[in-house]
Amino acid sequence: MMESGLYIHVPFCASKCDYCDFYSHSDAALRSDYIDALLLEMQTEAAFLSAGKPMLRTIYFGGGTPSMLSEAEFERIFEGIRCYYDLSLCEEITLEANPDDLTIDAIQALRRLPFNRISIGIQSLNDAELRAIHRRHTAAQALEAVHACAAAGFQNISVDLMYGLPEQTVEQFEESLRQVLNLPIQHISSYALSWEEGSVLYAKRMKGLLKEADDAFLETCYHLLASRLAEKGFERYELSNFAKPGFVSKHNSSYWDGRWYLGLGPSAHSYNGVERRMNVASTKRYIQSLRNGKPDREVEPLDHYTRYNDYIMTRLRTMAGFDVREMEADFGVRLRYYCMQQAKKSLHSGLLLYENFRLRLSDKALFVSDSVLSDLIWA
Amino acid sequence: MKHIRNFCIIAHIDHGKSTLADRLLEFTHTMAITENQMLDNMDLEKERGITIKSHAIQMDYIHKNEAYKLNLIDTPGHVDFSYEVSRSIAACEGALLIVDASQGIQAQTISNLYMAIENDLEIIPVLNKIDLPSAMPEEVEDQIIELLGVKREEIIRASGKTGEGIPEILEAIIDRVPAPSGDPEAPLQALIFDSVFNSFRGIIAYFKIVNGTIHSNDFVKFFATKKEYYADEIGVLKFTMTPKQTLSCGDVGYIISGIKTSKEVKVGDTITHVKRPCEKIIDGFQEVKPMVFAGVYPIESEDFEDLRSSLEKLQLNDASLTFQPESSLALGFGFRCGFLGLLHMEIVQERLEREFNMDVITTVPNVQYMVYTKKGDILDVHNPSGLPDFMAIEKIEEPYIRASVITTTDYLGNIMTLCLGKRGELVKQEYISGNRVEIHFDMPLGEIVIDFYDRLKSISKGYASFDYHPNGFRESKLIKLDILLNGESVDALSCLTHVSNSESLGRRMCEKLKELIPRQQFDIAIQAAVGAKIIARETVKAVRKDVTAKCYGGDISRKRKLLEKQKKGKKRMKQIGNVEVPQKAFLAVLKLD
Repeated sequence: MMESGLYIHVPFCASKCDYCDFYSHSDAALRSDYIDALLLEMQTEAAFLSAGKPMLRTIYFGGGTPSMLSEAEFERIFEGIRCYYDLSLCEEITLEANPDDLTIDAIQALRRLPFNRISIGIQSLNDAELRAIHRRHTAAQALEAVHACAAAGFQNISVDLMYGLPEQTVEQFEESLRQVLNLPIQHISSYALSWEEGSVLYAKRMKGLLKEADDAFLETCYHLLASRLAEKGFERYELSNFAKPGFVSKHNSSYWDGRWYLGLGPSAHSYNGVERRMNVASTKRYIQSLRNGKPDREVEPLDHYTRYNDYIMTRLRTMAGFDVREMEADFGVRLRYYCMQQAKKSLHSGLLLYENFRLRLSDKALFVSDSVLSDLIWA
Repeated sequence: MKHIRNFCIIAHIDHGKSTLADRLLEFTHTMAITENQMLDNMDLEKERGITIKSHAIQMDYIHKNEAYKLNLIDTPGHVDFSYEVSRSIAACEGALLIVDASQGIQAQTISNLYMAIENDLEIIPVLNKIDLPSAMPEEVEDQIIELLGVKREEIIRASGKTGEGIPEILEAIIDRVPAPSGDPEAPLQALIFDSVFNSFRGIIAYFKIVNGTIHSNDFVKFFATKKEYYADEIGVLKFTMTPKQTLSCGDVGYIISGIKTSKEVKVGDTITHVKRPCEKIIDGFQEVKPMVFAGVYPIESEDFEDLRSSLEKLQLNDASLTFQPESSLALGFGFRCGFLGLLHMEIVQERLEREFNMDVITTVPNVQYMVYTKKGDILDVHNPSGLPDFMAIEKIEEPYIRASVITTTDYLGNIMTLCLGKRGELVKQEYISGNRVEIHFDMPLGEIVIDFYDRLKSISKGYASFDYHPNGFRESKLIKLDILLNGESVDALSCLTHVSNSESLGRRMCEKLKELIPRQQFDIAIQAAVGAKIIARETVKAVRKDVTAKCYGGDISRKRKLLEKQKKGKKRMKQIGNVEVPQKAFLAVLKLD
């Protein structure tokens, strides 16, 4: 197999954002134990990817808030990675960062580390909106952080932007978007706020304290986003991801290109063509289970049809879609036939496009893509 | 014969019949203590807490140094199965009347009780669930005394849960229920009160010998069907089937004679000898006729043959189910099935899904109409789409029932309003005891079929019980209500309704369908029409957003599972034109608010 991706989940946050149902906590005392466990896991699990020292193409630190870690902590982690993996062909090393962690000193430290890509969770450039979802930073901090990263020499900067925030108006979103587009960035991920069960936001909605934006609003924002970004030379290469030419996120792309990746840390996901697995979503149990030599994780073996479903779902997220002949080579003529049969309705209504043997979503399908994709799913 | 006692249990659903029966079986060591109620041996019955098909079991009990055989014949506890109940009752000499001490007597109980009294059964009243804090023993005893004219001491207080009263019940059965009578030397006359299908042995018929004696390997004849068989095996029903060489007058037992389908064994039929037959069939035999009809269609049209074979298998142990092929423009090929009633219909649908793994759509149920054409023909119509052109119709008659509702005076007004709204005519109203009142209505059966039980239950907060008997046909002014989806008429959603109800029914159907049809990629217009006239309209707005934007850290599985779930949901829907319609939408009319 070609070079793989390495994902490292850093489960610590100084405070939890209201929309987050993701696994994180603020118990900093666990950090050193966590890093010990991480080093142990990266040693034992390298074999998940290949024998010997697996070749890495990308490394991604996600969270949680990975930017909370200190330079020394990062050094320990990178030392481990170099010890067990081959980085000679590694192209992209990303850090997810919170704007308020990106002080001048912190950015200098990141420059000394091997990072070559920073993904900054600015979410919004409106302070009222940021407060409403309980983010720690302000709009001014976010702008400053991006400029500082660029000034320090980072040439591949991504920002996250949300729409559908509580009380947000189209004008407010448009204004955040306008300011974002003046920043020295190469990549934008933009998502509608999701109201996950288990998040503070969800609870507030249940109590009637907050109202979810309606679909028409979200659709307006999405189209606004797509057109403004296109004007500024950003290409949409996946449902929610936009990049200047040459700045597509290599790590995230590997999720939908079927590349292998190993996830380390609590609740991290891995894939090696044969199975998918997910580590236990508790830092304490993660640490404990690695110490005991019995890593606690769920393993999902992938059968033919599951792999087909993954293929459909991930490939069609990308604007390029897939070549049905390649699909047939992997899954056989029967599933190709099934897929095309199931696609008929959406091809007819123009939600799916079929040209030169490639099947892909049309622009108007993007915002209702789940129902288009699920037609093609085998169940 | 004098040491045999045949008895059944009359009880309303949930009044604790099965639990009490279990205690009797335990006490007589017929079976060990079990976790489940033994008489109900279909899963579905356990879940619904009702006994759908009757069975029988023999208990041995020693009383005053004499050994007795006590045959408990179980009875189904629902209004759809009243004929089967009547045959079980006819096989007994006594009945336990079980009344929940916290709830009192219900309509179903009363109608079965009358049936038992008509058959001269000795009634032993039992006040069950006496251990409940909400029990009102004196009050419910008053009801029983008023109803039966018994003395208070004759009522046994019992609890299926604690076992209280169980020995007293057994003693009462022996002391009060008469032994069966009959002549063991007379020509054989055995009443079939039930049958079950066993995939290894074929049909097993349960009978009670009224006169004469039967031996294993006798050559016998079933009176109504005129079919002849060898009695390959006869025996009694203990915890398991126990073969015997001979059974005689008064005995309850089973016969296995190589019968393959349930159609050959009719409940209420008489078994006699070919050589020395009895003169006539035992009184009370009826051909069971379906009362309610509905289309049953496979969701995937290629499953049609599988559906046919599943229905055939179901019919093996459910002779009251009928079916014949039909086709629908909207749904393709399927079957028009006949059921005893709505519950029976639901049971069949659930069994198709659970036991045969069939995904089916059941259409709006309807009753059988008699259509008189101007040419002078009389047609039996089981399906609104089978109706001739309205111009050719002279008149339509619909089946009526005599309904009985027992409730308390608190709910009387609401129930009257409901029944009158359903075109009911009040026949009489009687106070049973205290504030309990029984109302008799003549009503069109078609009104009961649609959205009646649920409403009765909700307006009476569950304090109304319902029972009915067929009561002839009457002429009615009926019209066909059609439903259109995006302008296309969906035949499977059409129904016949009284002209006075059409507007409100059309409006409520549109509202309900709007709730049940999920938003899709385009607007969906739902219209109700009578002829060319649109009488109601609703719109399901197109979906604007249906996207799971983020795959956190490569979590593909979670999203895939969401899509698989969505796909499974779609597979259970029927594509009509370009609209995906969920199964339950076809029964929308049953669940109107």
